[in-house]
Amino acid sequence: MTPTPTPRRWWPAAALLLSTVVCFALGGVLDHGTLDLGVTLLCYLAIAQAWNILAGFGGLVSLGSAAFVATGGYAAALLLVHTGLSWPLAVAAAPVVAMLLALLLSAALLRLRGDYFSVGTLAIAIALQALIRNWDWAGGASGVTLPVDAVPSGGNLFQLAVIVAALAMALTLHARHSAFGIRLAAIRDNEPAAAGLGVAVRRHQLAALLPSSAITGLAGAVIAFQFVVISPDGVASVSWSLNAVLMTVVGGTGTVLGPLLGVAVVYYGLTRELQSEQTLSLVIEGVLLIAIVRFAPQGVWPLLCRTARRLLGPRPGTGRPVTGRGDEDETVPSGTETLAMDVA
Amino acid sequence: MRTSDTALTVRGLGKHFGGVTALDGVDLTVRRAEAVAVIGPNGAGKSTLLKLIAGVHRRDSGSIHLGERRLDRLPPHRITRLGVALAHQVPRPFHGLTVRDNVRIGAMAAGPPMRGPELDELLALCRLDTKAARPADSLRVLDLKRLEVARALATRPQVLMLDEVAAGLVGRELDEAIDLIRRVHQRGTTVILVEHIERVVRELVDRVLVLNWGRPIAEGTPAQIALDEQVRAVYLGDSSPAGTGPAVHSPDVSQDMRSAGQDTASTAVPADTDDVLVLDGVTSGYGDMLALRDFSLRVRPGQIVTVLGANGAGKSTLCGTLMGTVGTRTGRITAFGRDITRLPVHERARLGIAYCQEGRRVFGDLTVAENLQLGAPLSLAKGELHTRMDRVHAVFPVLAERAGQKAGTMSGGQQQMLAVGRALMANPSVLICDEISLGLAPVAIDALYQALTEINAQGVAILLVEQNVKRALGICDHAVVLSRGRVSYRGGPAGLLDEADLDAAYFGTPTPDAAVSSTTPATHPGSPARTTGDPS
Ligand SMILES: Nc1ncnc2c1ncn2[C@@H]1O[C@H](COP(=O)(O)OP(=O)(O)OP(=O)(O)O)[C@@H](O)[C@H]1O
Ligand SMILES: [Mg+2]
Repeated sequence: MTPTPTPRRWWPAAALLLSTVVCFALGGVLDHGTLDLGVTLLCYLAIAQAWNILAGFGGLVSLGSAAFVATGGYAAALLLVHTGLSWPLAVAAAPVVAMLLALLLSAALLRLRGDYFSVGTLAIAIALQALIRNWDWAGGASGVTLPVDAVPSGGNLFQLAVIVAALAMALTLHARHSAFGIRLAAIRDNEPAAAGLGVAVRRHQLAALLPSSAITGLAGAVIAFQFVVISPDGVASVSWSLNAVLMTVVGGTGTVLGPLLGVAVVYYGLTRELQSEQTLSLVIEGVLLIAIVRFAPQGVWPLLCRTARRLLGPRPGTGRPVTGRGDEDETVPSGTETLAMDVA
Repeated sequence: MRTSDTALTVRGLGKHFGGVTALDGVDLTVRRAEAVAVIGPNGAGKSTLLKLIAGVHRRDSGSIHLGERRLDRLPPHRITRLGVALAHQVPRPFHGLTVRDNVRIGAMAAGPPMRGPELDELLALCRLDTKAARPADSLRVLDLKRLEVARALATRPQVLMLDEVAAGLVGRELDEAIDLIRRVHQRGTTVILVEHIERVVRELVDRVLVLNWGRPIAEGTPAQIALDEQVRAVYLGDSSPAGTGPAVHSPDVSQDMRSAGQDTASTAVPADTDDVLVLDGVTSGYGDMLALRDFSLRVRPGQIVTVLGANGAGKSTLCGTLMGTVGTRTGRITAFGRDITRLPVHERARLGIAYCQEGRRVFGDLTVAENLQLGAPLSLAKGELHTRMDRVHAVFPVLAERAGQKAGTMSGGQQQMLAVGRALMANPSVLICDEISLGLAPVAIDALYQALTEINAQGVAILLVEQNVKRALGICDHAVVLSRGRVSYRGGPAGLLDEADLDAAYFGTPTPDAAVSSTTPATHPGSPARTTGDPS
């Protein structure tokens, strides 16, 4: 179960704006290695957050992030290579193409529910990878190499990544605090009941799917610029989908800050440490996922909030008398009472 | 004939589910600002009719118009936006959202967004104000029903359809619910009610449509309907005296009452070993809230003990504590001479305690037969399994007819029958029933209580938690009334026959004449027989 949207407050948006400005400025100061690491983390964050909007708020558990990373990445790369467009225009095209793909697929995908939706999106990711591999214009299995001097790098690329990640965060904030987000959560919880209360189901799901794909496509373009050489095994790898799921679930599905934490934990704890040991890394990722689902099904972030509350807050008294009618017979909710802190 | 005066017109409506004809040629015209009731036996097609109007299901034949506008081809969200709202019989909350947000979704349906104060007012009206910030999945059955009503009202409907929203309410709660519906109606809202509670129908509507097997069999004023031979035969049953309208049940309690046990279940514990269940000073609750305090009770073999009380008094907590789903804080529970205070749920079940939970928890995706089978022990021999099934089928014939139907698609009442049937499959030594007659048609309650009497005659002790006070008192040996987690009455059923006594025991406000009680209930050490408190 994922948390509930809460009323809008001004300070999360202000905090987001401030950190965006600070990060943007950092693009001019940091050394090359740090900037490169920053771009990687920011792209992961954007992809995880895009997945979070779709799955955490909309209940559409996608395994297709890779398809949109690939679409965005290839769209930008092919435009650069084949048309000689400037990179800002190529970047701008990436989300448009990703959204077109999403729109095309939505007719079929949004008819699927639950596990079928997950399997459907996974199938699309795999099919797209195979398609690119056999597509000569796109370089086939060996991929395409971008002209190094035509793509941004270092500080510029980092600043681009900051903007993309900030967009993803802003969108999540919106999903969390808006009427749109509440309706999306209602569809997730009980679709026929939502329709019965006047919510247009398909339209809302599409309204979650399109921006989510756009963000993922944008991140794909940034990744393409970072990689310079892009291939179906790189940008179209299913591991993008799996990482998006893992990072969000570890951090906290349906929370705004959870994926931020998840990206850090998964990247520093696993991906980087075990770069040379691919198999071991997979095993540990699996174990981590099981541990999270077993011990902190809402993710690490809500768990931290709850612990902090328990340490700081007043201790609950014992044996409060029953007050008012209808107050007994209630199973006390576990965990969901921390919602107000989630954005902290 | 559709005139500007008609709110809703239903013509020749038909609906099949596989081989089941749920509706067959139903006509209904509802005038603007009218209140109409639809009644009939369980599975008659009442909920199906409302769901077709709301667009949840598609009709097979016929037409539905709202004013001049044809509804039956529109998707449900469009129908809602046109001003038709349905509070469902089986609640469908958004589990992950708070109660307040659940209602807010409804409020976004049409028109300008509802402002905060308006929303608060609506929540208060439906008695949900104290629970507004809770996630909906922490609510119990009754509050979930209130939430259904609140969400439906939030859409600001012209036509409000209420499917058994008063089921499970007693006394003042029922008064409040009736009052709420009346107020909504007086504001000019057209109301269509489905209800098994006679009082609700009689007090709120002028016109009743009776369905049976998906067909209309009678239409008229509540008084006319109560006198209709056919309606009495298929719906009201024998016990309903003519002229009092549907669903009135006043079996002469004093005649029915057993002489045994005015004081049998008093609190003199330690128990002797042949007691079926003994609770000794039991306190239990959730988190930091105590829902049951210092409660003692003894159930003897072959006894029927009734536990009454307003909603929220602690009845379901008592059942949960007995069954082990709610932890016991202090005190001791003994079953058949054995201490079971710390025994896990499944081992209690193996001792022969069966629990029929409130709110019909059937496995919706399994068939009726599979649900029944799950009620019996795994190791049971085939022959014995079939004997037990036959016994359950004899009580509820519909469960045999629909053996292959998915439980989740059964009508509300049919699901209730299934829940009871499943508990019976365990062949228990003691049966705990939590509000099992909720949502059943009078004839079905007749059958159910008949079955309880038969089971009891075979030596099964029964702990009956009920809202249907007259029914329960008519069958029990011993009654306990809970009020806010404490015992407010304990003794024979005779001491509760008077309305005023009952009200005082339920809500703790003694009416003047309740102070002089005809019986002297057994007193629990340390707590007065009748606890009086402020009326909440
Ligand atoms: N989705 C479905 N699939 C199969 N059968 C169904 C479905 N929905 C309803 N039915 C059947 O249609 C009949 C009418 O059901 P409906 O829910 O309308 O009854 P009802 O009059 O509301 O009864 P109750 O008083 O018990 O609520 C029942 O026999 C029920 O089992
Ligand atoms: Mg029904």
